[in-house]
Amino acid sequence: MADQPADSTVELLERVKAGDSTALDALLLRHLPRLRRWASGRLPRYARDGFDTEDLVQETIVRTLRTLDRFEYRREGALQAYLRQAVANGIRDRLRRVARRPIDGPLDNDAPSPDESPLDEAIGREAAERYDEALAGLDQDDREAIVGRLELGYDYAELAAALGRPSADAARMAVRRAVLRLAARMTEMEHPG
Amino acid sequence: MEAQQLADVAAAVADGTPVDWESVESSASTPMEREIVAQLRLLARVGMVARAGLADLSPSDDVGLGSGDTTSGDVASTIEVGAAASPSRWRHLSISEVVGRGGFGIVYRALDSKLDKVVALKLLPAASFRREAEVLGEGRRLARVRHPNVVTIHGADYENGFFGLWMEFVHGRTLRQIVEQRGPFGSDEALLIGVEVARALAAVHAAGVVHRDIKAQNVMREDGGRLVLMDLGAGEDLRGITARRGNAGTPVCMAPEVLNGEPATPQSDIYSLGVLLFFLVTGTHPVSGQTWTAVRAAHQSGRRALLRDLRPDLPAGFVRSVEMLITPSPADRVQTAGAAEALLQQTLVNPPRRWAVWASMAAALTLAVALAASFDTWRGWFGGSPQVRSVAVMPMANLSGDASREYFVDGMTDQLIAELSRLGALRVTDRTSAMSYKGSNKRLADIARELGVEAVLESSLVLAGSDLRLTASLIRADDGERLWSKSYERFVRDAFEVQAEMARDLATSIFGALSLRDEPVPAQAHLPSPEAFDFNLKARSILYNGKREQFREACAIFERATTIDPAYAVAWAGLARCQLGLEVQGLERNNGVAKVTATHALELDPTLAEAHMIVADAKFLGDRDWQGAYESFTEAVRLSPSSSQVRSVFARFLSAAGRTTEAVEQARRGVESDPLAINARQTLALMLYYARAYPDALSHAADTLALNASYPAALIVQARTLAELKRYDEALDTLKRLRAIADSPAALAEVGRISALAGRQQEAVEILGALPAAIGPGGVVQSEDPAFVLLALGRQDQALALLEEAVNQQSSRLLWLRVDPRVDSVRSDPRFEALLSRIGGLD
Repeated sequence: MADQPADSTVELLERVKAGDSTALDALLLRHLPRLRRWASGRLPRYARDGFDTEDLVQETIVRTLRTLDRFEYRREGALQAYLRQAVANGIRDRLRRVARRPIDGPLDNDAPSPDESPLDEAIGREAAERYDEALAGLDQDDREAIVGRLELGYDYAELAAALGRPSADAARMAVRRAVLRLAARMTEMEHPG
Repeated sequence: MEAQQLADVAAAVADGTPVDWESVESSASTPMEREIVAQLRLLARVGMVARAGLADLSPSDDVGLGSGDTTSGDVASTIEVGAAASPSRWRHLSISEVVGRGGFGIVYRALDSKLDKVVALKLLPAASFRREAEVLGEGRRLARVRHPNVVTIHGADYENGFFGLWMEFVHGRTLRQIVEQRGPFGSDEALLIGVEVARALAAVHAAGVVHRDIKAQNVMREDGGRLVLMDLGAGEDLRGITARRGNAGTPVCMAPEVLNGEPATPQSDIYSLGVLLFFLVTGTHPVSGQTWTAVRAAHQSGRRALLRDLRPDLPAGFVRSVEMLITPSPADRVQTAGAAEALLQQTLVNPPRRWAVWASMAAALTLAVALAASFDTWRGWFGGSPQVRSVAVMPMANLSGDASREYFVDGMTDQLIAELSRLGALRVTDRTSAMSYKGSNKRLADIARELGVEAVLESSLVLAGSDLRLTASLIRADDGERLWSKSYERFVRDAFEVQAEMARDLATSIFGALSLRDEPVPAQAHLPSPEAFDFNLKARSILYNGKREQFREACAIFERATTIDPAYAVAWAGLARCQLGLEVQGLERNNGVAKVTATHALELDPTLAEAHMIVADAKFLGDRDWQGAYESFTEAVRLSPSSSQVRSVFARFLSAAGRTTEAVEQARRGVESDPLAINARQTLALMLYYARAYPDALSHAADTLALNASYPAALIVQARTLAELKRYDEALDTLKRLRAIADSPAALAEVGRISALAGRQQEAVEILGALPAAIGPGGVVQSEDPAFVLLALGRQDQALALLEEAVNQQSSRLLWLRVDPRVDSVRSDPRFEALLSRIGGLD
C-alpha cells in the first residue's frame, strides 16, 4: 500500500531489534538482492573473484539492521538509501583490510586494472569519487530518488511508494529533478567558484 | 539550450534510454551548460553500470556460478570495452541501442541496410582473440544453419577491432525469465520444449558446431510461441580465455568432463539439455556449487540433487528420461541430439495419467509443434479425460496466522472466482456461497453436493514478509481424486499475477477443452500495481461485507487505487459500483457519475462484466434507456456467465420490461451459480411473484428467509405474495416483523393496502392519513406509496393521479409497474396505459 510501506518496515525493524529472526529474513529478502547487485558494480575486480560479495553485503545489512538506533526511519526510500550507504562503507572497510590478491589465470594486456571497480572503469576513479561526494551532499529526498532509481533500479511505481510520492509520474518528476541537481552539484565540485 | 531539453536528457539518464550526446552537446550554448551535459553523461554511465548488475543477475539471486550467469565483473568490463568504443555504425549496420549484455560482448539493435531489417548485432572486442580467422570460420559455419528453432545468423565478420555476428532479432522472453516469473513448468510442457531444443541442437551439430552453452537463458520463447536457441558463436578460443579467467561460462550446466578440461562434444551439449529440462521443472540444477572447484568436487563425489526428491509429482517416465540425458559418463549418455529428441518424444506420448495430456495439448498448441501423433490419437485420449463442468472455489485458507491480512486472502479468492467465471462452459459457484464455507469443517463431498458442483478447488495462502506461497488442488467430489495440484512461490507484490496465472493454469490443464472450443482463456491485459491491487481488495471487502453506510469509505479506497494505478480497470469498476450504490440509495445526488466511471473502466478493459453491468443498470435506472441497458446486460452475461449478481440484476430488468419468463430463468441461473447468496434467492422469489407464480414465489421467499430470517426484501416479497393468495393475516404478520426490523413509509403503506384488501377499511384510511407524517430520517413518502393504498380502497381516480405524480418524480420503483400485481385493477384504464408508455420499455 502506497501509504503504508513505512508501517510494515517500521514494524519489521522493531521486531528485528527485539531479536525476531523471521523479521530479519523478511527485510533481507526485500533489500538484499538489489544491494548485492549494486555492490557488484562497486567492488574492484580482484575483490570480485572470490564470490564473497554476497557475504559482505549480507553481513553489512544484518549488522546495520540490528544497530539501527541511530537511524531515524521515515520511509522505505530512506532505509534503501541508508543501507546502500552502509554497504558502500562496508566495501571501503573491506578493501582497507584485505590485501590485494593475484588474479586467477592470464590476463589480456588491455584488461582493466584489477583494483578498479566497474564504476571506476566506466567513468574513471576521480569522477566516481566526485559522484559519491555530490550524492552525499544532496538533500535527503534527492538522494533517495537517485539511489532508488539510478543505482537500485526500482521502477517508478515502487519508487513512488518508497519515496512517499502520490504516483509513479510524481516519482518520475522527482528523479528527473534530482538528476539535474546532482549534475549541477558535480559541476560545481569540478569547477569550484 | 532549453530547460525542457535538459529535463528530457535527465529523464533519459534516469531511465537508461539512449541519448544522442553529440547533438545534446552541440546545443549547449554556455560553458556551464556544456559542463552539466558532461556530468549528465557521466551519470548515464553510472546508471549503466548499475543496470548491468541488475540485468545479468537473477532475481532469486543465487549469485555466482549457481545462477548460471556470468558474474557482473566480467559483464561490466565488457561494457566498458564496448562503451568506450561503441560505434554508431559497424560495416553496413547502423547501431541504435544496447539490448543485452553477456559474458562475451554487447548485443545491439541495429538496422541492416542490405537486408533492410532490424537485426541483433553482437560485437566482441577483437583484442580478446588470438585466432580471429578460426572464430570467424565458426561464425560463418553457424550462418549456414537454417532451422526454425535456431536463431538465424545473417553473417559474421571482423572490422575496426570488433568481431561481429548479426542475426535475427527475437522478441520474447528467455526460458529462465519464464521460470522465474511464473514458476517451474509441468513435465509435459518441459518435454515439448526439450523436443524442440533437441531438434535445434541436431541442426547445430549437423553444421559441425558444438553449442557449448545450452541453458535456460539461451533459449527464448518468442512472443508468438516459437522456441529459439540463442547465443551461438561463442568460439572455443574465446571461451577458453574467459573460462581461465575464472568467471565466465556456466559450470552448473556443463557436463562433468568439460569441467575437467576435456573438449566440448555433442554429448556434452546433450548433458546440458538434460540440465535444462531439470531446471525447467524445478528452477534449480542437479549439481550446484558456489565456485568452479565446488561444482567439480560435487561431480567427483557424486553429490547431485534428485528430480524425484524435488518434484515427487513428476511422471516416472519423465524422471527416467532426464536421468538418461544427465548421465555423468559421456559414453553412457544418449549419444546424438536426434536420439535425445526421440527419447523425449516417446516420453511425451506415453503419459502415465490421461488428464495430463490436457496440459501438453494446450502447450502443444502454443508451441505449434508438429506432433507425430495424429489428431485422432489425441481425440482418443480426450474421450477418457474427466469432464469438469462445474466447480466451487473454496475460500483460500490463510495460513499466515495474521488476521489483519484476512481481507487480502479473501480478496484473492474473489479474484480467482472472477477469473474462472470468464470461462463460458464452466459453471463456477459465485462468491457468497463459496465464502460461506469459510472456516467450515464440512467434508468436501458434502459441500460439493450442497452447491451442486462436480469439483472443488481448495487452496491456501501463506504470507511471510514479502513472500507469498499459494498452494491449490482441484478435487473431484464423487471420488475425492486430486485432478490437479500446484504450488506458486512469489513475492506478495506479484499476488495479482499469481491468481491470474493459477486461473490460466487450471483453465488450460483441466478445463482445456474450453479453449479448444474457441472460448477465451482468461488473460489479464493490465497488471495492476501491488498497492492498487491491495486497495482494490480492501474496498471490495467493505463493498461485500460492510454496511451501506460504509459505501463512501469504499468509494474513497477505490479512488486511491485508481490514483495509484490509473490503468487499473477493475478498481474503476469497483468505484462505479460504489457510486451507483450511493445513487440508488439516494445517499448521493450525483446522477450519472457511476455510468461515466464504469464506461471509463470499459475503455481500459472492455471484457469487464462488472462494468458492463453497472453501465446497464445506470442506463436503466438513470437514463431509462431500455434498449441500451438490454445490450449492456447481454454483454455482461456473455462475459461472465457464472456471475450470480449479473444474472440477478439482469433478471430484475427483464421483469420490468415485462419479460417475466426470461426473468425467472435468469434469476434461476443466478441461484444456481450462488446457491447461498441471499440476494440471488430473493430475486428469484420476486421474479416468480411478478410472473404470478405465487406458490413458487412463496417457497423461494421462505428459502431466502431460511438463510436470513430478517432479510427485509424477502419479507416484503413474502407479504405481497401472501396477500395475492388472500392470506391477509399472515401477510400482515410478516409486515409486522418487517417493520420491527426496518420500518419505512413503503412498509406502512403496504400494511394499509393489505388491511384494505382484508376488509379493514377504517385502518387503511387511518394509515393513509398517517403516511405523510411517517416521513422520517432516511424515509421518504413517494407518491406511489399512498397510491397503492388508494387502489386497494377502490379509489382509482385518486390513485392514478398519484401514480402520475410519481412518474413525474421519476420514481425508480415505478419501473416495475408493467408487472406489478398491485395495480392489476387499473390495467385496462387508458390513463394507466399512458403512464406505461411514459415509463417506456423494450420494443
